[in-house]
Amino acid sequence: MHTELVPLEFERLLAEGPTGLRSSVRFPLSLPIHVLAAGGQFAAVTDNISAHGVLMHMDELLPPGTEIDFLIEFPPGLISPDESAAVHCSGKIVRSFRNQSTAYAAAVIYEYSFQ
Amino acid sequence: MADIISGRSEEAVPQEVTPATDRAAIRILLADSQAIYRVGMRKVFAVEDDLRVVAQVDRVENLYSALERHPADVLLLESNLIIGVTNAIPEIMRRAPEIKIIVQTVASDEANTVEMYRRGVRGIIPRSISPDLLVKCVRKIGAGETWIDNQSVTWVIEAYRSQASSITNPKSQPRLSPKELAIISCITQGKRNKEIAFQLGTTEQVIKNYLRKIYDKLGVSDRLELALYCLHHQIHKKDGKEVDGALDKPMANGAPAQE
Repeated sequence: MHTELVPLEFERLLAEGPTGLRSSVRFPLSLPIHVLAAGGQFAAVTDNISAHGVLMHMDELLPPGTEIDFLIEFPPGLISPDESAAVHCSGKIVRSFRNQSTAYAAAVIYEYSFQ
Repeated sequence: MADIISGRSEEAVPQEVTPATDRAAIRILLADSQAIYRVGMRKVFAVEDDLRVVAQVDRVENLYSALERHPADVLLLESNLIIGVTNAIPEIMRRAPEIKIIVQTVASDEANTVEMYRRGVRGIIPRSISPDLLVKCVRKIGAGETWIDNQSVTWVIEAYRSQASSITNPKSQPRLSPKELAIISCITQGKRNKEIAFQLGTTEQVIKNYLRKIYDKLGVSDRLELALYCLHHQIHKKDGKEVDGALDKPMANGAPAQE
């Protein structure tokens, strides 16, 4: 018995290789971040974040294509017993929209480095 | 010019000359234990200008050598051919990273289907597939698409969801040893493996071994994902007391112990 065959764009899911299925887990973390983009600095809060991308909300609507840098700061005791930690990420806005007065932006993370 | 490997013999037997105009055709390698299927599929493809069988084999050992001697775009692989062969799909991918694999099965089940897609198979089709659909499938996969039926879509998505939820679900969180926590702590402070090794009094290789074990245990794939995992599960709030002691003790050189 053959069901309807659908060539799907599963490449994004599957093409990440043998570990692909686990490489983009989104963690529902609400973290304050500072975003540098288009010559300005914006305060934002993450809605969810993975090793490859982030969804955040802020006051400003940043258009898709905007190159961004942002810093995630971890207070002491969260991922290190006594010390704080920070990760600098660079990436690009791939999608943005406004919901009432709040602007949302989804960005891919190209590079990161622990500070 | 292309050679066809006879299904009756393990030796390559030149049989076909391919016109120069045929260069854009999708090159197909047939791997099937049953001659009747190889003959049938060749006949199906023979009437299609854009599809060209470059080799056919009847066993896995011959397939491995054919992959290197006869570059192909698509491999049509009978699933029975790889039963009991450890890591057959990864080995095929290692020898021919660009090849797109279509597996033909008599019957499909959830575990095998998910595992085959996870390992890089581009399509799974039944042995009873019609010639027209087989041609369509090869063209689609040759063009870089994935061929998946509705049932398999459900299986793959379910596997994806359960894997994701097992990572984000605190109840399924594995326990980390003090040494593993100490290494994570160093990682999140931006230290390199070499620096961590120096601080913990061991070698860089030992740290790499520990890190691999931590990644496997938590199901993460890089340092940022590791940090996010620890943050989400508040690892150091729960187990952090054990870290300080671990940082003071020198580590044994070698692979991580069973902790």
